[in-house]
Formats: sequence, C-alpha cells, structure tokens
Amino acid sequence: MSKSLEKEYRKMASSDLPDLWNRISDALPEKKPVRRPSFKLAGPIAAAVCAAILIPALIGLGRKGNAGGAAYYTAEAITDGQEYRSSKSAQSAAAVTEDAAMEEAAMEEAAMEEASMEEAVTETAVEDAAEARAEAESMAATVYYDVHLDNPVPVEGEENWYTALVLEARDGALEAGSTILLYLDPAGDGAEEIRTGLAETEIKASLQEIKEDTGSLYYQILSCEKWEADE
Amino acid sequence: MTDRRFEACIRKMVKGSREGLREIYEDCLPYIFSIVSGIVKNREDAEDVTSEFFIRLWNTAERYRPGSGYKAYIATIARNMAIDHLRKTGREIPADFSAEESKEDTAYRFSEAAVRAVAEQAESFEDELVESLALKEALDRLKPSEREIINLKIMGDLTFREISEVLQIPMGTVTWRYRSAVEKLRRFGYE
Repeated sequence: MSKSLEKEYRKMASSDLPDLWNRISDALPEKKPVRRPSFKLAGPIAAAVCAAILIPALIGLGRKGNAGGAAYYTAEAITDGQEYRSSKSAQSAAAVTEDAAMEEAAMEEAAMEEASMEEAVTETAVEDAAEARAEAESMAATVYYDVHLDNPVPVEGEENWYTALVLEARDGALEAGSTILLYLDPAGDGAEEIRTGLAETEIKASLQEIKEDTGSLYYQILSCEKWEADE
Repeated sequence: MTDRRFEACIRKMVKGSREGLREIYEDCLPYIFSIVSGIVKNREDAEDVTSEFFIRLWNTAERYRPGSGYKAYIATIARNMAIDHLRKTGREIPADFSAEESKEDTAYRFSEAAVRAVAEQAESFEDELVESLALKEALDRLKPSEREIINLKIMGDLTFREISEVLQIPMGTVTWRYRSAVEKLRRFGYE
C-alpha cells in the first residue's frame, strides 16, 4: 500500500505547531513612517547651502576690498607725512621727527583699531557661516533620494559603504549611469539587514533581487557622492 | 498564499498594519518552522528563531522586492537565521548544510556504477517494505541535506532551481539528493 508522501508530510508539518503570535506581536516595534524626499525642504536646504558657500566667499571678497582700502589709506598718509616732513625741512630735525612720529603713531593706532574692528566683524561672520553650514549639513543629512540602483557592492574595509550603478534617479539628485559611493543608514531597518551582514548568501539574494527588479527601487540613502573610479 | 497575496500583506506591513504579518504568520508558520527546526533541532531554539524570523520580516518589510517568488525569499532568510543561531550558540553546523557539494555526492553523481548499485539496492529494499513505519521515522533515515530538500519541495513547492539558489548548491546536487531521498522514502511505502 503506497502512502502519499506530500499529503502526510504536510499533515505532519502542520501538527504540533507552537503558538508564537503573542510573543511575536509583543516584540513588534511600531512602524515609523517612511521618509520620502521632501520638496518643501528642497528650497530652504538649497538656500542654506548657498548661504554656507556664498557668505564666506563674500566675506573673503569684502576682506580683500577693505585690505586694499586700508593699504591705500596708509600709503596716502605716509605720503602726506613725507610731504609734511619735507615742507617743514627748515625746522629742527628733532621737531620734525617728533611731529612725524606722533602722526605715525596716530595713524598706526587708527589702522589697528580698524583692523581689530574688521577682525571682529569677520569672526562673527565666520561663526555665522559655520553655523549655517552645520545647519545645512544636518538638513542635508536627512535628505533621502529616490534612486534605482544596480548591484550595490560593499567597499572593502569600509563598513556601511557601497558602490552602485545608478540606473534611474527620479529626483535629479544623481545622474543615471553614474557610479556612486553610498552610505547606507545604519539606523534604517533596511540597512540593518545588510549591515548586520547575516549570511553571505542572503546578501547575494538581496543583490539578485535588486538586479532583477524592473520597477523603480526605493533606496534610503543618508548621504551620497559621486564615486570616481580612479580614486 | 500566492505571491500577489504575500505582496499585499507586505504592503500592509509597510503601512504599519500588523494584520499583514498575522496573515503571513498563519499561512507560513508550518513552512518556516519546518525549515528552522530541520536545522536547529532543539524545539525551544526553533521557536526562538521562528519568532525572530517574523519580527525581522516586519522590520524589513520595506526592503522586500516582489517578483522572484516569496517562498524562496523567506526560506533563504529563515535558513540563514537558523544557521546564524547555530553559530552564535556555538553549536556545530552539520556538514550537510554546508553550501559545498560533499565528496560523497560528487563521487556518486559521476559514477554510473554507483547509480546502478543504488537502483539495485532500492529494488532489494522494496521487498523489505515496512508499512507500519511512520513518516517521521522514515524521514530519520534521510540525511539532513536530503530532508531539507524534501521539505523545501513539499512545503515550499519550490522548483529545483529555486532550491539550488536557496541552498547555494548546484542544481545537479539538488536533483541527485532529492531522487536519493525519494528512493529511500519509497522503501517505506511513500510515493
């Protein structure tokens, strides 16, 4: 008498199963909403980034301008002083020297005062710029891009870093066809899957899925930059 | 459960609904538990790993990519988690579960004489059929790797190609082990 292997096997596997639902349910974390690229943030971020770049540049230009002015003023004063000295050539050498020395001292004092004021202004501006830059960076760090990647490859010796070919980038943040270096958010659930490694086979399976995926793949990227092959 | 249904459950999970996971749990528990307990042996450990599997499925729902068959996907995860569990607990991973084809398999696969010998042996065993032997006992006669393939074939309804991908072994080895297992089970009256 032959017995159905399949039927009996299924029956056996379905019998005496543990009830794990309560245990699983208790351990489930609440789902956080998926962060999508926010176009509302794009404007302020761009503005902050521009500010971070432009403010130091403008300050630099300003400093150059002021420095030029100060130099002109000093040269003029010195010329005046020389003229003054020559016009008083008949007077005693001591008196001329004293006057010139007093005038030079006054001019130096004025120049120093100006320089210290300029320095103070520059310091404040630099601090502001640094603050703006830090703010921009922290905002940029939360930006996620929608990209379709092919075959992310772990960078040897660099945990959490991968290289990948961009197949499609909907937000225009990345160029299709370019290879990028990406850092997968260790705090993200998906990244956790790769980061903790599990077995190599699973990573391979994931890569395979990514390769076979014909649709658009939503990938969470904390930060990314173009990857130069020569580097 | 169909692939489409599974995907719908995953979408629910991504939105934060536990109902999606509950449905998968109810449908897939026998499959996952059989895969895990086939590797970790100890029932308590198998329960732990199975629970962790469903929690992980919840946590990584966003990363599921449809299109390549969910049964192979979840089998791969469950199997890797079970093997990782053995590693973490310092228990020995049976050589049979290693991805590499065993020397024994290779030798048999490439030896026609061996194939003939097995066939003859099978015929002689048919005469000694023990009908009263329960399936569990019959399965105990299989190698762990053979049992794993039978499990994936029956419970997961996977193709040989999918099984070879899950187990990371050549498809020829899968079919060889499957045939060998079926031969052995046939001796106990299972078709």
